[in-house]
Amino acid sequence: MNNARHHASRFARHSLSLAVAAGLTFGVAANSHAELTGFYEGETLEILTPWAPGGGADTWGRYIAGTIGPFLGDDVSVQVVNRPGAGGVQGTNEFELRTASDGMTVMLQSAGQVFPFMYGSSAVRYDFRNYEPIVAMAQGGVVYANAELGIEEPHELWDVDQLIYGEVSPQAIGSMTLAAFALLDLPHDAIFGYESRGPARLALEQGETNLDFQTTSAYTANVEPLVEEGIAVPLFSLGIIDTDGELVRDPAFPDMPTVAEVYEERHGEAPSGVAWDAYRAVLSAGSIKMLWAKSDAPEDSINDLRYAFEQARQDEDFIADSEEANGPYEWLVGDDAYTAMSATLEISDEALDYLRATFKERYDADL
Amino acid sequence: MLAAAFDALALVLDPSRLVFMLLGISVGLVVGILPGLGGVVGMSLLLPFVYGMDPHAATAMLIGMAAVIATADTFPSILIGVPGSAGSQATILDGYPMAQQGKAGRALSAAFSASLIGGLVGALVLFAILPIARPLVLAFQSPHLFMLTVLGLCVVGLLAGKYPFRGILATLIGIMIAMLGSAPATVTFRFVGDSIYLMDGIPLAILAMGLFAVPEIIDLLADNRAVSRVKEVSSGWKDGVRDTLQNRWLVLRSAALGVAVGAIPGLGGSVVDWLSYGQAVQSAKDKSGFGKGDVRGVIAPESSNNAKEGGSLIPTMLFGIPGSGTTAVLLGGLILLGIQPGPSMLTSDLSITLTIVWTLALANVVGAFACFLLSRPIARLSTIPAAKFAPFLLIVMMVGAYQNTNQWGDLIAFIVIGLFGWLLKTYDWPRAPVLIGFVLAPSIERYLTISASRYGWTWLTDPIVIVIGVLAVAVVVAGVRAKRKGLGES
Repeated sequence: MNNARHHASRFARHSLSLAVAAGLTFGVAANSHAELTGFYEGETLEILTPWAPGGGADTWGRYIAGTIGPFLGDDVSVQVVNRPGAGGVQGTNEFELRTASDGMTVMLQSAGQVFPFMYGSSAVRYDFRNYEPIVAMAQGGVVYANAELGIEEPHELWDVDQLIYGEVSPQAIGSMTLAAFALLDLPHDAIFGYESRGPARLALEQGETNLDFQTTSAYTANVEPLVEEGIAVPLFSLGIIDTDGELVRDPAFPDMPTVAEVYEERHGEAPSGVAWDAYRAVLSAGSIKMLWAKSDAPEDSINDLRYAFEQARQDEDFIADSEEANGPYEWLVGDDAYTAMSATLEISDEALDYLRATFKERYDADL
Repeated sequence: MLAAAFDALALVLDPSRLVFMLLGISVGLVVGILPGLGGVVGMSLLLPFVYGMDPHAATAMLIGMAAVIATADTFPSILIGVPGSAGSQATILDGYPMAQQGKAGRALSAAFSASLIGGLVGALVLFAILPIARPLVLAFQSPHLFMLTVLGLCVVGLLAGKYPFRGILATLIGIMIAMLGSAPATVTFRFVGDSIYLMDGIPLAILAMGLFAVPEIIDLLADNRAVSRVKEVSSGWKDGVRDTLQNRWLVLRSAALGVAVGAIPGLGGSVVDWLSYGQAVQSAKDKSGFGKGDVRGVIAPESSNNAKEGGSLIPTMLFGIPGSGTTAVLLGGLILLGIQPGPSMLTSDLSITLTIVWTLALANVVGAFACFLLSRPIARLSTIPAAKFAPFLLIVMMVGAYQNTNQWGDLIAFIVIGLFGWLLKTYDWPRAPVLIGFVLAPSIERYLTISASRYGWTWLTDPIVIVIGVLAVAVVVAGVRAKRKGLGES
């Protein structure tokens, strides 16, 4: 990662906002969405989704497509356009290289494009820091164990002979858990190769593994029944990054300690240092879904998009529906969205080196 | 549960919902008939309308679409030797020769009636087995899944044509093609170079069309003849239904196989037609007609590929794990409707589950009858000279190929694989093993990796692993012996 460059671009973004705020009477700064200009009236907004239909991010995009229209103005239609390929890299490259900056297309970001970006894959042609943040949502998840281990609390994990964790690949969203294990310095065996998190969960039920992670929706639907039956034991949540960029308890699991609390219980102090930075970077990369606009899109379009989500997040019906569909997670608009994502987008070279070295040493994986 | 089942039937038959089911069925029929388009495309077409719909109506629409694809995709398989979707390739082996002999009508009606029965068996098994399916699905650990994929690969031995050695080589070529793209369990990309297109590997639909459709069209054009070598398409509709009824045990056995293969997550329903074809050959007393227009070679795959849908819904609904591309999109649709598949499908969301079962049954009936009605006019296609319909067909297939990723790479891959398929056909190399190797390669690699890193060598002593292993060897030996005998006679 080129630190100087992204600091410069971040600075440029802010100075641009300041200039805009100063220059225009109604002040279209990043977080002051004064009013709707009607940019999208009678138009169709496309959400470019770089995956095939059906996954979690696609479903989030379709939720937005189905609900945000009225907040954008009269007769606005919103469509999801799927451009699958290379785990999300292909469609996002297309957004960078080929999508017009006319404000009619926003791009959906999720773990698939972010990990290759963060680890500097040569296939990546985009840089999120050059885009304008519209809205984001961080959705967490839970680490749990097979009840046969006979443990009930996170600190007992260190008494278990053999912890076996099932994972897809070292760059899948489950790598959030691997980074948490690194932070906690938890000895474990990781079995890679499961097709997705669903089969990994099956493996825990079968006893093939005994430690697993599931995102909130999958945990609520498929693991909570196992907890009630006494087959699985919840341990800790990964936590959620709030508008200040801090790690807080997951609103879906307010009674469950976070990784940071487990760390604090063991070490007597809050986590800090390079492992902590690395964890937060991987966490925001894996848990945040976000919409970005091109930075040279019309100002009115960016203003209207942010304004619409600002209105929506204050609308009781919208929030009630959203809790049902997405869990009790907040809609972060504009700069708040960027802040939540900043741990990933502005990851230090030291934290990246730490991740590469740790994954190489523990799993023989080249990130 | 029976009372709940009838309540759900009333829900499904409510006219306002029935309309949506019929809409789904119509989309499924069109998508099934057009070569190269399959369940994923159909789901993607319907998905934008799902948000905010009545959950029962929306579910009926999506399932109605998915249920009839395996019925409708038979048309191109039999009439022009081109797979209508990835699940109907084995039907070509005997269905297409039947069409060439002017028996298209008989082949189609045998296929549709077998599809109908298979689909109903699938729905029935889904209903009966759902409450007890959880432990069954959980019984298969990675080493068992590995051995099952090996068994699937061994069926190739029965399909390899006259030369078993070529069959093995063709399988290996299929496995090699599957190595393109991202490797499981790592962050490595294999044989990709700078091509972003290749990072996902070659799409299955393109490989299937390239191997089977392009060679057929080239040869038809070269001869400028119609598919059917005889002028008139004999009706033979009643004969087809009679064929199915006479082979009722084969129909039921194939349906059972379809449900079982569909229900095991990770095994991949895309080879179920080949497995089913293999067991039909294996169990037949007189094997000489297979590949030359034996109706049993149509009945078996058609019965099992409809039954598969019922099976693949078991892991989708009970565990939220999609068994195929189609069920993956279905899962997204259910979540948009506020239904998170899991154990609640048997409790609080039971009415949705039962809607799915009923829709599956009804759509199979409606779909089969629609196909019967459509088949008289469509069967005439096989009498049109190739020069007249091949350009149209090529365009349809190109569009279908381009639907996979919307990249130029799709078209290039389609053409390259098409030429490769034509070479295989011209030099009498079996093409089915290429496809089976391709489809099973990722599972074989995945489950072997997991088995080895989790259990070391100890998994080899697992009794179930040994039983499946013995079965696999027996299948290969039986296949080779049958082939020797066949050669001796000729």
